[in-house]
Amino acid sequence: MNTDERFIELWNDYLEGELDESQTAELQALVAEDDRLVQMAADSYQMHRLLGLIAQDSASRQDEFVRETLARLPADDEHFVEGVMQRLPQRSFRRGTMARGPLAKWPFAVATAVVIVLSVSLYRLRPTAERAVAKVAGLNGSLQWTGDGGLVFHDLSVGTQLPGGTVEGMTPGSWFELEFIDGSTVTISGNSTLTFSDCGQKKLYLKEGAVSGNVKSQPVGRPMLIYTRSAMLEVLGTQFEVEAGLAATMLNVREGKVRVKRLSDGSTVDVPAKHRVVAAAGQDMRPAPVPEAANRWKSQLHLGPEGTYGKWWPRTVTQDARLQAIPYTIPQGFTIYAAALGVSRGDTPPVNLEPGCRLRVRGHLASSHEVYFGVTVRYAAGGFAGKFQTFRPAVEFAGGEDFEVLLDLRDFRLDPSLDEIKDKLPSAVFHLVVESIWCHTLDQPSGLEMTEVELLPPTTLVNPAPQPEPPIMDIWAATSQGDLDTVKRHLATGIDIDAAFIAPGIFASGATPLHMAVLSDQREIAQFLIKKNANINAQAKDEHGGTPLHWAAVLGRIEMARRLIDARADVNVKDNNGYTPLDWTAYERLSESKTRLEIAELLRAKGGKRRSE
Amino acid sequence: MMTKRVSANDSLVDDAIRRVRHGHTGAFEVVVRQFERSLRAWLAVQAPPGVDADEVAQRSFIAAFTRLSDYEPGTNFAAWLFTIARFHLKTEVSRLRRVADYHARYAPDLLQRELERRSSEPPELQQARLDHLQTCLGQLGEHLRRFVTWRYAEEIPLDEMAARSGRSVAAVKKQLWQLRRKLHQCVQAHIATEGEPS
Repeated sequence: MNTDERFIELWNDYLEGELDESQTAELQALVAEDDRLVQMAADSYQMHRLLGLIAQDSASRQDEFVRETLARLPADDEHFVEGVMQRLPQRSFRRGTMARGPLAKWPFAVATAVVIVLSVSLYRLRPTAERAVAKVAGLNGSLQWTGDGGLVFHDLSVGTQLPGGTVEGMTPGSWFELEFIDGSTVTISGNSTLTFSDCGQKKLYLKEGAVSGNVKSQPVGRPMLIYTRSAMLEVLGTQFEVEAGLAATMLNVREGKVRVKRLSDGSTVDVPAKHRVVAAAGQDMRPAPVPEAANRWKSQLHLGPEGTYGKWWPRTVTQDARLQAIPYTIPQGFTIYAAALGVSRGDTPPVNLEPGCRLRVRGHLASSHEVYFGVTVRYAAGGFAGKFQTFRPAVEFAGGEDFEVLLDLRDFRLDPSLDEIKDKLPSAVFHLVVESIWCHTLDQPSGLEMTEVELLPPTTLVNPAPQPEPPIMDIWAATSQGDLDTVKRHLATGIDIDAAFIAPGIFASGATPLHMAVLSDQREIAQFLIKKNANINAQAKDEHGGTPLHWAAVLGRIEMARRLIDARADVNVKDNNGYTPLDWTAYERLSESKTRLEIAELLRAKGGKRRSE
Repeated sequence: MMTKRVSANDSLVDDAIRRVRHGHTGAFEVVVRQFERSLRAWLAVQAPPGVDADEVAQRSFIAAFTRLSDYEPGTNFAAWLFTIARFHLKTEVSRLRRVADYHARYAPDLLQRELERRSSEPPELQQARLDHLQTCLGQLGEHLRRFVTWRYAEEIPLDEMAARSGRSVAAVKKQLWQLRRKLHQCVQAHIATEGEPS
């Protein structure tokens, strides 16, 4: 065997990770004697690596690389090294492109050590994000940020560092918390527009809406300044809320002191803790103690649109003043038709939600549609406390008619869009201050209008009822929404479990709760009702008199049909016209034929027959 | 070819960089996607045995991200990124040289030096080589291409490759050597014909 042949043999073994130490030494010696072999080795090695790269090249692998790289980007200075180190074990996308055997295992150990070294050196090399003055500490709802050059971004996320700019809340439910480098935070909520900067001194411009703040000690002579159309505020410390309108600015100081300068005449006043002031031309600007919180509130739409979101219509001879929901399409593509009323605002007392409080909403809906009702709340000491909502199904709203709903605040749940931070927020609305009350429909313009909203104080507690009070939401609505707790509370009051929902002209009229569970495919509730001895063969109180199994058949609810049959529902039960569930599977307009066919097969297998058989 | 492709995307990259500087971290994805393949290709062939090229690639992107304020928009971002990568690779190689048994067990010293010498080649050259290699692979006969697939895509053991092809393990090794050499010559021929990128 000549030198070249020996070199090739050793080199191949080297690439396969099969060389031992003595063979490695032999290979070293061979290439040391012949530069031509060095070139051949390098050519072969590079080709070997390129082939490995091509063989494993794919869109998914590229995606994996990109995803891993982005995941390793530092979110902020404090978590940079920690983040890099934590991600080390998750390196999963690489496969051995170099060699097999002992050589293939080695790079990971090396890379691990490398990362430790590089993590530290990179940390030292990192700039301090010189242009960023603050980062996003929290957000919810539709927001947009406009930075240098007028570029507009909608996809902000927690941790995003911002060099200044303008943040706008696009809907009544929008909320945005900004944390400056020194830990000072400011929060906007609802339809607010705030421009911020920090070039050695924090300056905020509140064009409209509301901002609250928790400000750390600022450099001497450079307090945080807040400008509105009507005032300039010098924050001397530390917690406050500002609300800016076209002609007036309301300041509420919780802790510390804020100096207010009215722009129209230059007059200045210091507002101490637990005091508030309104800065508006021609008005008295003496600070007054923050009034005690109220537990009742009523809208006053006839006075004008101030503090509202939506299209405001004045009172006429035939109609009350009203607030019409207006559409807003969020970047994700959904359109929300919303109307909202500011509550704890201006120089009125803050409004607290106490246990037992209820919300009465009067309005109008042009076409039947499910409606969401909600409240945005803050802590009594300030700070966003969440958005809570409930919804009422379309069956409760006849199109073209006025409506009145009485909402039990116990039925309000945290807005699902806040799920990611739900651990940081209260689980219920009680003992919180209402910022706004809103309602909306989704996707369909249904002509939603509010004419009056009233927060009712707790009902008398002098003679507490011996029986649990029935929830405001009825059992059929609760069933259709999958609200098992409310269903249970109804049953605890002794309600007839087979009571029919009577609403002539409405699709689901005549349904028992079990029918309603089938209709809305609420399997857990159906199971619960069956367990509680609901009449599984109950006929709906309508002209057809179908049983839950009939409804499952016509609606194509295969899983529900299985559960009903398993619970011994009569597969040949007849409706008012003598038709069986198998007959109902032939009705084509309410579900897909595929699922009805499956149910028909199921019924057949269980002995089901047609009326004609 | 490579140069033209990058130029066409320069404004896209510069726009993404601008957005990153404004705090929109997610926009850095545009940058990573734009240079991921060329950077990994360059590192794959320049990194000596024992260096995890993809790790260095990721570290380079992270370093570029954290030092983005140093980059001057409108200048050659690719050149800036590869300078960072070169620095990181050099740092890693220097570190490996201090590992006591590195040369004895894993890397012929002369190979490492040759790779280091070649690292001064323009990064676009490796991307061009990668592109040409795809072409050359497509020109291989099926009886030869199957060895590439077995070795690099399926990563099956040599003895199984031998069993599948009805040859000895030694013959398979020799076949792989010849394949790599043949492909290298093909790529070099393409480079010579079409010229290296400037």
